[in-house]
Amino acid sequence: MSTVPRTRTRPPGGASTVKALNCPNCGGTIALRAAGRTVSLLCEHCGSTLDATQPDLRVIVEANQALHRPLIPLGSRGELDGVTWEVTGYLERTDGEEPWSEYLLFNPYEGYAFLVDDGDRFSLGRLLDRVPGWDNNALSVDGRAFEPTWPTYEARVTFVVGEFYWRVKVGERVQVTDYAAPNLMLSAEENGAERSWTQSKLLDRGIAEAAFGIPARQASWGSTPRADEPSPYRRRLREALVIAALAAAVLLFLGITAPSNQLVLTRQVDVPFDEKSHNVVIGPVDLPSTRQSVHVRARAVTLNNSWLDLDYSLVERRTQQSYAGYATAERYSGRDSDGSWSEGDNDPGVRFSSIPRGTYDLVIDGAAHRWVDPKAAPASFTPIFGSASLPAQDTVPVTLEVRRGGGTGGLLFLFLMLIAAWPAVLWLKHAHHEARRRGWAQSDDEDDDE
Amino acid sequence: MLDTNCPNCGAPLRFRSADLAVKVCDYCRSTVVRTGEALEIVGKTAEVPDDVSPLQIGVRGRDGAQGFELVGRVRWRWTDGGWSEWLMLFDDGSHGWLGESMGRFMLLRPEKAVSGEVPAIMARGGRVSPGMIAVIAGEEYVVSDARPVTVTGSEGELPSPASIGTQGFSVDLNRPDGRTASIQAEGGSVEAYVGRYVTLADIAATGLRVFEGWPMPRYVAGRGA
Amino acid sequence: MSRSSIFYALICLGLIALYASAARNGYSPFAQGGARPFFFYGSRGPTHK
Repeated sequence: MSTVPRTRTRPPGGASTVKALNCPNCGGTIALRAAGRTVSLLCEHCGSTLDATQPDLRVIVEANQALHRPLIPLGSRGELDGVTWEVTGYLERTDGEEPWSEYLLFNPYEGYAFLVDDGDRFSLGRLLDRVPGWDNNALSVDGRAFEPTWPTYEARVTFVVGEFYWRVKVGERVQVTDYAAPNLMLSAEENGAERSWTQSKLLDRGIAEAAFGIPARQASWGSTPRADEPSPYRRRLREALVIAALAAAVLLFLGITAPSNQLVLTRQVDVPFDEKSHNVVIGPVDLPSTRQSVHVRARAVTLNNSWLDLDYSLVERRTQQSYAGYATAERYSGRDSDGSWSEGDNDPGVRFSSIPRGTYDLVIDGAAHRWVDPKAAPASFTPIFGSASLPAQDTVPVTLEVRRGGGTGGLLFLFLMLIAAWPAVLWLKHAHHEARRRGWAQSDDEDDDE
Repeated sequence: MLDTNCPNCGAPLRFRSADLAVKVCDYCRSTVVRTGEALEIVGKTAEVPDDVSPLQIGVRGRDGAQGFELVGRVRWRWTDGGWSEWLMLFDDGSHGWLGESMGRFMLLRPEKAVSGEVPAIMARGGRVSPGMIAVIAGEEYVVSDARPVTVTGSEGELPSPASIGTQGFSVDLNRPDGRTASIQAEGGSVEAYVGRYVTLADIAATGLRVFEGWPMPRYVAGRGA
Repeated sequence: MSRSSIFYALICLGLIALYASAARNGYSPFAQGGARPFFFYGSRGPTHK
């Protein structure tokens, strides 16, 4: 909508952004891809550094050795996240231990981006326009939290070729501090005078390779996860927990609404002391369901320093099918240097599971025995049979309660454990991944300024 | 609005706003200054070298609700780089600058209320260094960059004469919340601008330059999200 | 949903069905006595003391 005529002719399809030039030092053909923005250009044929801020290229640093070609050649174009980028520059940096490469990508409408290659994965970085804020103990950009990682390190340029928008040179150093979020990295680079922030996105395997036409890379097993590499188990763990919660809710519902037990029979039986065996039969125990659990409770509250052996047989009247159980009712008490004590369960229960339908008798073979505290004052007669301070009992009264049904608590517990097994496995794998990913934390023990 | 002819070569000239008193003739590159109805040639301006900027005179955009058009441009350089400043003429007649550097854009509006050590030092021609403070519109900005600069070319309509060789001093400042400011000292006068980083999508720029082989940015209508 | 989660969901359905069946048959994993697992036909064991 402008009234101003163009003073320079421009082709209708648009001018090309690439200018072909000759290096003033070696004469080789080079390309200027970001005229007006590029400040320094390193000739790939001779390695000389050329000044691109003047209309004519001038040699700033003369060199005479061809520079090696980067894996992705200068001038390559590729599309990432819907934006086409052209490789204009390439540099290699190191932190003193590990090297990595960076490609300076250019798009006339989007500006610049960095494609970082650590030898295994590619990340796409853009400069941030603002300074991140601090939120608790993490940096925050657009509401996303980045956790601190390893201590600040020095990054040094070891190789440069192509064109850049700053006066880049081999040996250039910056102080770098990295912060990590799932699939994202925030890096602060500082060289004393200024600090810049770059946010990088970890690209999925194969994306950058396909975009720029280089061979895809294989993942290696068991390598330490990157700081920005999210746990592959996180999503599955979340799904498993949801499924487990639903399943547990159903089980709990079934457990709570299950019919409770019913008292079938209660009888008092007297069990004599020290007889070899004494059978009592109580019945009938009617079990109407196809199958049910049966609970036999024996309450012997009068026990004192004695115990009761109880052998149960649940015998079906018609088929004479028999199921066995055993319980011990016991109670002991006394005094010693710590005071008075008592122990023993005088109200034991026995559960029979899946008893078929029928009419049963409960055969109880019981025998009571006395016990003498070896620490008590010695009796004047042999301690096996009774003690002088206790009243003699001939029999122990036992109240038996037979119940059918109910008692699903144990079953519920077992199945809840089974349901929890898979989420537990995933949680362990996730925790293991995160522990390895955060391996930097070990070196932070003495460093407490955050 | 004044439609007239270049006093040097006779080509048509249009002055769109009384505030923009300078126009670089597109044909002979004379810098023409207008005072009222009178026109005066104050020199010749170098042509801005062709570059890969997506902006060009005639690009329209928006700062919030206010629409603007790019009507002029000044190209600056310093020892280790250069940048462009595009003059934005808003629909309400006011103006601002769209700075373009290293592929990023900064939208700046003039701000008169400026005080502090930085403008004071600049007014008397002294050295400013990073870390110093300026108070602009009541808020503190910290110097991030300060350098001597030179104009290397200009075109279109401008508020003041800018011919080749103009020396100046440019100071960049910013705040933690991302807002930026620029204070320029040129021939004794000190001017301050306040703004922020924007993308072409943020200002909904239309009429951008077309480059062979480069698809237009996604936000441009018709290309889909 | 990932494949393993779908598989796990099916397993959970199976476990719920197994639980319901076991509960209906009065099965208890902590029982002392009683029938063998109900899907074994015919109990073996003493029929009389």
